[in-house]
Amino acid sequence: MPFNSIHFIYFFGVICPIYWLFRTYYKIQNFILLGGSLYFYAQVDLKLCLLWAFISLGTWLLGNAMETYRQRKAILTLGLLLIFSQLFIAKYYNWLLGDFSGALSIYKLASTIGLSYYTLAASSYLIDIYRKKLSPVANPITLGAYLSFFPQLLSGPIPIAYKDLPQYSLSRSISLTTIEESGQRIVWGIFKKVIVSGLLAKPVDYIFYNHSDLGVIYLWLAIILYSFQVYMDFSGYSDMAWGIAKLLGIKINSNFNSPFISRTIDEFWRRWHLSLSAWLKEYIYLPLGGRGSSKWQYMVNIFIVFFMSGVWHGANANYILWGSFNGLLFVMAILIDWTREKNDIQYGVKGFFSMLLVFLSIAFTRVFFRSPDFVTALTYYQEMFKTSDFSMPDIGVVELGLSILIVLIEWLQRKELHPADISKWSLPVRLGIYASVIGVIYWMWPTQNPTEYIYFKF
Amino acid sequence: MKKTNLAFAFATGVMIMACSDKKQTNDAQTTNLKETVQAEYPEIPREEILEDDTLATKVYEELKLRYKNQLIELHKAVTANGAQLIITFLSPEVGESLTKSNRLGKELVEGYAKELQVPFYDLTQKLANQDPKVVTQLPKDGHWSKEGAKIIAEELTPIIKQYAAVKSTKTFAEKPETFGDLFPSNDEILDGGKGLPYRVKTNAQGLRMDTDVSSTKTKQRILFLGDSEMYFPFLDNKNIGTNLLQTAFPDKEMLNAANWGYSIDDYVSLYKEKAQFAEPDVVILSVNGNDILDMYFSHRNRFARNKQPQNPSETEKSFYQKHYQK
Repeated sequence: MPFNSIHFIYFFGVICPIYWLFRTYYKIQNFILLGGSLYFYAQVDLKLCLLWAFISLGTWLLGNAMETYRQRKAILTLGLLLIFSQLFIAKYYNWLLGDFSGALSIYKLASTIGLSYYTLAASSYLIDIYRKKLSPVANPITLGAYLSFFPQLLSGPIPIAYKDLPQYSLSRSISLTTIEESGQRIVWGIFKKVIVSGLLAKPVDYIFYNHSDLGVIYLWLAIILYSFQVYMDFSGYSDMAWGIAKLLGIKINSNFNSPFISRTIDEFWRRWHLSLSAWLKEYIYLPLGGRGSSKWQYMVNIFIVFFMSGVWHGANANYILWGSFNGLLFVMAILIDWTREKNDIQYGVKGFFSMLLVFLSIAFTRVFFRSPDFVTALTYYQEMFKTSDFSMPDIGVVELGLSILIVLIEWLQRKELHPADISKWSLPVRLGIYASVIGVIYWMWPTQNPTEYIYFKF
Repeated sequence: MKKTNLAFAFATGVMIMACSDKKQTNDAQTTNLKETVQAEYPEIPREEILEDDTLATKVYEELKLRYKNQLIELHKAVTANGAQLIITFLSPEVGESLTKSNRLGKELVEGYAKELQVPFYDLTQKLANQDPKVVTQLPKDGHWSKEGAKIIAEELTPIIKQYAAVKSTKTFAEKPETFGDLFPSNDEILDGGKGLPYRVKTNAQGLRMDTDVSSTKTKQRILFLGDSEMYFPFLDNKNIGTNLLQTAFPDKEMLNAANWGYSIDDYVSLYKEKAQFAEPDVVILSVNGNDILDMYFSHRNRFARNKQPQNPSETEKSFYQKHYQK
């Protein structure tokens, strides 16, 4: 049930008013959230709900057990084994079991959508209890509502338990300002996902499918357009998720912070898929020692994190190569000291060229991400450097322009919390902008509503 | 609070409007009528019509007659213009793998062609004799691959050369805006929902070709009528058979008016309403054996270019009820 489907609108139209009827009873609200989320998830596959229930119940029991028993490390290990074994078996089912899949046919799921996200949330809960950053929740409904929260269930943002879970034990409120803020993100998200990403999909699919027939510039254009497509698709979804969650009084993490205005590789990863980066940092990078005492340790730890990110994306050599490739880029940037401090907000001509270089470097790695297999990816890379056929592309130009326009808006809005945040502007101007964007969305709405999301498959 | 409710209702309304899958259109009432008939008879029978029973035989006889009459009409219309009609047999099922309906249909059409003294060519011979390692059809879909299109163009080459001297006699002072049914001057990426993206370019006259048909005729014009086998879905214009022929014959104009799901009645109406005004000298009609079965009313209602619904004959209705409305 994607957010931009009529089914979701009906679903949310029913859930939201009922939820706010109980505004002073957050426990009942949690119950409504849990029920609604499970209904939402069951639309994909009922078996997924059962797997979710098994993992969540196990997580809740083991979380409480850590508080009661002294063998905390053993309980944590058991919990992580439970969680990640389920993820591994279900997600890598065909690849892992092959002909022997009959023995574990219960894991044969129509889709593993959401699994990679809530398993990270569940493991974060157990690790945080173990690290004494969080107390286990006594009520399983509270944990259930947190782990199944439908705006972030299918594709994140991945929550960090000790930061995000406490709000499920507090009463929530909503105001006109919150509604407006949510509306801004939802509309901006719809525009990026349905309109821009939908437009970008056509030339990208076409060039990647017909790459052997096309000239060099087409192939380079495709990696640029595909980078924009992934961003518009995933950040559009994340913005919608943020807005919907906020309409329920829950604040979830932002997943992106205008990544294409980054001037260094490390800055890019501080702005891209933030919730996964935060999870990897909190539970892999920092336990490994973070920056450590030497540059070498720093580089090794960074590479491990990127490698793990590739593994998380799927049982496919291409994702692991994509992760490793990005890890190498990061390591190279460290080696040549091409890094930037967080609070450096200077943009000059040099900054512009740096932005371009970062964008192209990241886009270059995307061939692995987009290609169906290793051989296709390798062929594509070879063809990008062939010395014949430099014909100028006659497709994707409008889509490229639109994407650049969005990056420009993000750059202009870089000092705001979010590019869609226009709360400083006067009401008539804001209303004019809302009406224009909604009008453009309505006018450009495709005949076939694109309800597939790139990051649903991870 | 009132303001909050108002804003919420407005936002919900906008989202519902925006998320609806289809926008309201003011299509003609005929389309609705056609949709009504389609909804009443959604199934399209294939092999059941060839079953060995009296009712099925009666249906097939009716379809054969309908097909033959339409073919005669097309032949008359083409010859009335002094042009040459040629029938080519083209099917993804080649050699020994012809299905019963395709085999029977092929024999029938070949017989009708002989009766009408229309040249008939089987283009599938070379495809059947190909090295199995050469992929002539897209494995995902069954339509022609680049290699398949190339072989078809090679098969058509000697036929086109044979009729190089043919010239139509009729000219038209007034012409419609388009000669084909495709959206004119279009350049679009499609994938037919199969993940096989391809680029369709049409000229100003709604034909699948890169250049417009010249206003003054200076070259011999070859018109191609056919269904998806001649439309070449999932291939860019530059790789389709008719474009390869255009490159091979710069002294001629290759006019591709083929379209998905079309059958003989569509070719007749398309030719009479639009294509004949392009003044083609040679009309190459691409057929396959299933075209006879395609004359069944529920298939026609799904695919025909005619916007009027085709109601079932009594025999078709009885057959439909027997198989699908038990």
